[in-house]
This record gives sequence, structure tokens and C-alpha cells, in this order.
Amino acid sequence: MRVDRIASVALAAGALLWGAARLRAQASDIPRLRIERYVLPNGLEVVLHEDHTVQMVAVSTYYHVGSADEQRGRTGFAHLFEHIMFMGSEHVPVGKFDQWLEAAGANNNGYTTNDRTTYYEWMPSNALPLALWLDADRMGWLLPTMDLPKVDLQRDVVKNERRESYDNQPYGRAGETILAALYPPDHPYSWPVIGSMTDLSAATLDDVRGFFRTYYAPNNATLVLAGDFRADSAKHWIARYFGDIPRGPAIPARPRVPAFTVPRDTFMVQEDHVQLPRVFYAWHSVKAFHPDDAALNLLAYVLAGDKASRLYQSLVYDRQAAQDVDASQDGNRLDGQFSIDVTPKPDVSPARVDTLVREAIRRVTDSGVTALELQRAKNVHHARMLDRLASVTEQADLLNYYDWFAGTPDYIQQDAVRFDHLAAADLQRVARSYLGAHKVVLTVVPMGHPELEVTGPPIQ
Amino acid sequence: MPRLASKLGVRPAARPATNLAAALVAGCLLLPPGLHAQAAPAGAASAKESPPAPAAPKDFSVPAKHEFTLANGMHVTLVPYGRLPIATLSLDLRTGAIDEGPQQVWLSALMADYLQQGTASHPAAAVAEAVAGMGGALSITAGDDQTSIQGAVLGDSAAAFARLIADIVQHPSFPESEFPRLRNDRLRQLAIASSRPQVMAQDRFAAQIYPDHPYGRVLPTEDALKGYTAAQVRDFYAHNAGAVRAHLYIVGMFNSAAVEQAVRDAFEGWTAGSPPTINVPTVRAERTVILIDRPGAVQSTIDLGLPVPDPSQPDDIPLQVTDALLGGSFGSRITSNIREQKGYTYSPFSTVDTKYRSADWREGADVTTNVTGASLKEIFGEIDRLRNEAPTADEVRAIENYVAGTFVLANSSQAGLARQFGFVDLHGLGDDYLTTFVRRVYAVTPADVQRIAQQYLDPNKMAIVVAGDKKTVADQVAPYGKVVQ
Repeated sequence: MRVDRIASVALAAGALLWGAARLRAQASDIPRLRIERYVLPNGLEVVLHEDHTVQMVAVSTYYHVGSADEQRGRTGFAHLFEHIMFMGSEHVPVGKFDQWLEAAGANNNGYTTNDRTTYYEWMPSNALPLALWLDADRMGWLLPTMDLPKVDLQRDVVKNERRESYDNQPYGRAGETILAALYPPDHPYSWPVIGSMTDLSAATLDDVRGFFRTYYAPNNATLVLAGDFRADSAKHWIARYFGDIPRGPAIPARPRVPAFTVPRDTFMVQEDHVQLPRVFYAWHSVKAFHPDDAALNLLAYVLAGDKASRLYQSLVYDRQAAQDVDASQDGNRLDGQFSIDVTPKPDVSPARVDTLVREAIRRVTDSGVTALELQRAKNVHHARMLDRLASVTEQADLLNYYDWFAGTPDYIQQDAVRFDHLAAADLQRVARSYLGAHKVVLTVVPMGHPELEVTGPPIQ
Repeated sequence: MPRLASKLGVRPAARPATNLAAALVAGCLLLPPGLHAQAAPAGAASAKESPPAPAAPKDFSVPAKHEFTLANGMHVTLVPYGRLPIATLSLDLRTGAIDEGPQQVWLSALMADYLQQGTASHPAAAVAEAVAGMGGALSITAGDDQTSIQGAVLGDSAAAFARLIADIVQHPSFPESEFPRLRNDRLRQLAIASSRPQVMAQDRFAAQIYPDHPYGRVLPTEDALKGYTAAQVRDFYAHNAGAVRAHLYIVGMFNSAAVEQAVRDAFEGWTAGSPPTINVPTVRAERTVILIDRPGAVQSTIDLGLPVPDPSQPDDIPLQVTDALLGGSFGSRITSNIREQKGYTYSPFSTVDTKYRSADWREGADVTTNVTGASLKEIFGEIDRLRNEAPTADEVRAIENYVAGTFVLANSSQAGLARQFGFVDLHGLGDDYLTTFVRRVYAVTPADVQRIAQQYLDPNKMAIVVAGDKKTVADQVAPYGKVVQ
């Protein structure tokens, strides 16, 4: 695809002294990742990318199931299951999955999101056959050794994770409060990935078995290898270890996302064991790779991505009203949200901060962003993408991500082009369309101070 | 939701996150032949039933580096690496907590904050804009022994970023007007940190191990911090920053000749300054039980451990192997026990935390309140078991593969390489430390591991810090010694 280079712009002030980077098109030096993609007879999709610049290999397995596939009253299940996948399988005694991999010099981990469950290993090249064999054994032969003690044990570990990372963390419960207010109750993103303690307690052994049979089938997974290996050897091992795993039943219908708009501004307050209040703003935005997703990403950078950003300059430097500020566009596979979080300084009221946030947003919707702001946002995005590509672990994850989110693993160039094509006017337009709509505002306050809640007028 | 998230401390550790004291030099590290027996048992021949035997490991090649020293004493290491047009720059300055007096805790952190407030010719916003224009972000962090000024930028901006760093370290503006804001930020951070059980435990643990030393002072008092002035920070910088304490690492894809010239031109005028402070702590190794009350806490945060040899000591590598086997990996004995078999905790992990010429070993875990005592029993049980009985050759070989493999992995990114080179230079380990690392890992025997556990991991010399609900856990920790608050 031909990519238009972007016209040069005036240099930033510092450029005169230090010399500055020129603005370049994003896609021009993003390497195309050469891949081979095929599907085994049992439905397992395989993507191979050889990269011999480092002596290591990364393996990424996406099971196409996440918390969005759960039902209300059964939340936290996808993530609990992720933990169980490390507890051994028919030919791998409890504890040996980690020990054998580590004994081959490998590291491994896993994570669960709304849309998928990811398992990954990164290792010196010679450990690859072992990693594939271990991944195949738990894909094909997990159930024979699955019993209630294993489930109970990981249930305890996950409950400790919830306590440590959410219940016992300052502001740790804000995320799920916002989800419940932003999305309608039948929306599959309206509950958190970690799930509720009650639902975790209620999970039975039969639930776990049923979940595995439904979702942990080769026809619901994609296996990606990136790094220092030979494709012909890898194909041989993959066929040998994964080839006998039977295809599972048809995957249930993917979760449906109801069309909705946030009907009015919603203001909420939550008391927590915190020292300072924090104001969380959330707008319903768009899913990943929606035509407006890239512009919203750069808008988040312009608003709060660095110390020269709009909100940082206004709230932290000029007015000295906030400790810190953050903004992000989180486009997931089915839907997305745009968020801004601000922590006011001790003697500044959240209401004051709210006024400044609204002013900053209004300046963008009224007057747009400058060419220099857009250039910085693009260059930073570009460098971050290159930085990710330098790691085979990130390469493997990216290929799997593109495959599941964009429909093809070979998407890196198109992804970059999305950013090349953005103009300053695009950022202004998405600011108007999405940040001008109704929002959810949660103020987390120190215990006993509900009066600090932000209840300001809507942005318009 | 990762299966294990990393724990955050107050100060960034200067040590690589992998906890591997290793870096690379030009040349090739050959994994010794015959030392890679598969730990997984040989079984039936069926592809399904037994794990495959590993292929022979490949040689481990490392990138060449180009080093030079400026007339003012500043060291520079250039490492052309990778094939993507980005570069990581890190200026490591030998100052940090080590230069703080008892009433100056976090002064180095404030110095790091203050350095980001612009230069004589450019205000902070212009600096931030310029770095973003290069595709990067500037980070300045103060640790125990080092302050790092770093960032990753597009490769064709490496020279410009080096010039910018040179401007920051030679001409910081330290504007009076910004100081109250920075101090207030740190006061707020202190309030938040002081309420986090992990930090509370870390603070008491460090004070126990490193008495009357900067390494033992994790948190300042609020009153002390309130009293810090801009003049104090400027003075701290003037005394402790200078070319002779600086080492610049540039790793990535860049024009070497142009970058070298830019570095020489930009830094040659920097004042040499005074040599690094050498202040090796007198460490304390004695059984103490410290209980920090957090009424109603659903979990207890445990930190237990003691001083151990530092990276310059001959037992450093055997100690790393022992740590990985005991608690420093998913498959390790303690993690298998209290997480995978008992479900007491989500995040148990042991680590060797290194400082200049000192180090401590520590096992940390957040455990459910009602199994606080049971967790201590299991952790000490695993330590005793290793002291009483040498591990099998298979178990040791397996963990050596892990340590060697993780070494390779830690050296496969720009930032990782910059960290590893910096680690070796800080500790003065020399190039042969690097080339012999893998060989020395594989030379560790089961008897060595038992000896290390006996010699250095004596439970009777360990401090135990528990932050939890006192009324529930006091009886549980009582068997482990006299409890102090």
C-alpha cells in the first residue's frame, strides 16, 4: 500500500539547540512481519513468524474466550480457568508445567481479558519442542486429572488475587463501579474480568469441565510462534503434538453487544481507604480498529500523554490543581471506552478540577489541536510500536491480537497507516463526537467525605 | 489479570528485574556441552505421553560494544543492536540514596524530579515537547546507588537525545517557583506509600537489615520532607553530580560515528566533580519479629530475610541458583508449596536485592490473614529442608537451565542490555564476569546449594516483618520470636 508522507512542520523550540526528529510516515519503517498461516484438520489455527535476530522463541496461544463470554451470576470464570490451566494435565503432574519449562530455561505466564485468554512462553530456542508439547497436553488432556481440589485451590489463589489487587488496593474498586454504570446490565463488558467473590465461590467442578469442553478446543484457539526457529521443524512438532486433539463442538454464539447510548451524565461517589479523592471520567467510545479508534488514541496522548500535554500543563503545571492526570482510549474487541482520571491536590476540591478538565476539553472541541501536538503524538506512537516489535514476545502477541481483533495476523502495516492518515481535524472531530456525549463521573473519596463528589454540569 | 503481577516498591531497583546479575560483552558464550540434561523424566516413546528431549542449545552470541572515556572522566558505551530504528539511552549517575544523610531521605528523589523542570535555555514544557518529537519520553529516577536519566527514541534522534540529556545534567534550571509543587507531590506520595502494606513492611525490613545507613531508610518523616528546600536540592546536585560519576549507555540502531561525535561535543565541557561516595553498610542479621498492625486487613504482608553476599562475592552465582530453586521461580519450592499446593497466596516470591557491596535475600508474600502462621511454618520448613538435605542433581540442573535461560532472555532487548551493562559496571564486576556467567551457573553442584543455604540462609538470623491484623495474627506469629511493634 502506498503511504503518503506527511509534510514537514515547524520545529519545536528545543529543536534548535538539540536537533529534532523529523516527522515521518508511520508505516515507512515498520517492518512487514513475514508469516505463514495454516489450520490443522482439528481447527487449530497456526501462525509462524521466523526472526533470527535473537536466540529466543516466543509462543502465544489465544483461546477465544474471555469474561464477555460469561453470564451474570457466573462472573470471573474465564480468569479462574486461566489459573487452572497451569495445574497439570494427563501427562504433566501438578507443578511440573512450571518446573519443566523453567528447567528448559523458559519463562511463562498467562492473562485474561474481556475478549480472550492468553498463554505465553518465552525461551531459548532449544526449549521450543517442550513448550509446544506442554501446551498441547493441556489443550488436549486437561480433564482426566481435573478434580475439585485443584479447582478449590486456584479459587483460593484467585480470591487472594482479588483481595491483593482490587479490594485491598486504593481506588481498586473504581473500575468495576464505572463498568456497571457505563454499560447496560445486558452488556458483556458490564462486569469485571476478575469477577465477584460470590460467583467465584459458586463455581462447581461441572462448571469447570463444561467450560473446558465448550471453549478450550483447538477450533477455538490460535497458536503463534515468533523468533528463532525453523518453520519446517515447528510444523512437524505442532502436527505431532496438537494433531491428535479432537475438534470440539461448534463454539457458542459470540456475545452480543446491545447498541446503546449513555442517556444522561451519571455522577457517583465511592468512599474508600484513600488519602486523596480521585475523579474518574468515562465515555462510551468505540471498539478497536473502528474508524475513530486511532484518532481517539492520539487524542488521549494530546490530552494527557506527556508533560507537555493539555491536561498536564493546565492542571499540574499552570493551576497546580492536580497531582497527576491520565487519559486513555480502551478499544476492546466488541466495544470501547474513553477515560480520564485526575487526582486533585490535597487542598483543591474535585469540583475545581472538574471545571479545569471541562475547560481543557472545550478548548480542543472548539479550536482543535496543533500540528505540533499531532506530530508528537504520532512520533511517540510510532516509536512505541517499533519498541514492541523489537521483542519476539511482543511480536507473537501482536500477531495473535491482530488475528483475533482485526481478522488477520498480517495487519501491522494497515495498523500503522491508520495513524498516518490522521489530521488535526480528526482529533477535534472525535473529541466533539465522543467527549461531547454523556459520561459517567465517579469520585472516589476518603472515608467520611462524600461531600467531595463531583456533580458538575455536563460538557457541552 | 496476569497469573503473577510484579510487586512495586517505593524506589526503583537498580538491579535488573530478572534478578540476574549478568551482562554481556562482545564475543560468544558457549553453553558447555553435556550440561543440558532435560529435567522432565524420560517416559514412554509416545509423542503424547512424555515430553520431548531438548535439542542442543545454540551458541549464545552477544552484541559488540564500543567504549570510550572523555577527558573529564565520563564513560560512554555504545552498543549497535537490533534492526529496528530505535535507540535506548541511559545516563547512569553514581548518586542516589547513598548520598543522603539521616535527615535527607528522598532528597535524591526530589533531585530527580527537579532535574525534569527544564534547562537554562528551555522550560520544562519545551523539553517534554522535544522528547516527544523524538518519539520518546524522558524518565529520571533515583535509586539507592544510581540516578538514571533515560528514554527510548527513534534511532535518528539518538544524537539529539544525547545532547538534550547533556543539557539537562549540565544546565538544569532548578526554578524556585516549581519546588513547592514537587515537594507537595512527594508529600502526597509519602502519604499513599505509608498506607500500603507492602511499603510498610519493606520500610521496617530495610531498617532492620541496614541500621543507621541510607539503604535502611525507605521513607522520610513527613516533617523532614516538609523542611526540604530548593537550595538543599541544588546543593545536593552540585556535590554529587559530575562527569566522573557518569556512564552513558546507548543501545540500538543509530549512526555510531555521528552519535559518538555528538556525545563528545555535548559532554566534554561537563565538570568532573567528585568521585562516588563509598559507604558500605554494617548489616544486621538477627531473628526479630516485627508486627505492623493493620486492623481488619484481609491479608498479611510478609517480608522475611537477611543480609547475603553481594554480586562482587564469589558465592554470588551459587546464591542466585539457590534463590531461584528455593523461592525465585514459579516452580520453586516455596511457591509450589504455599501457592500451588496450599492456595495461601497469589504473589509469593523470593529475591536477592543488591546494593553496592551489600545485598539481602528476602521472601515476600501477601497471604490470607488466617494462614499467616501456617505460611511462616511452610516457608521456614522449606528453608530448613534445603539446609538439611542437598537437592537432587536433577533439580539443580533444572534450575540452572532456568537461570541460564533467563539470562539469555534478559539480554534480548535494548533496555535489558542497557540495564545489564550498567549493573556490571556499578558493581565493578569486569568483563570476565559476563563471559563466565553461564559456565559458572552450570558449575554449581547440589552440595553447593546446600552449603549456600546452610551458610547464608540461617532462619535464626532472619528478620520477619508482618503487616496485618494484629488481633488475629499476633498469636500466629508468636512462636517465631519476641514480637516488636
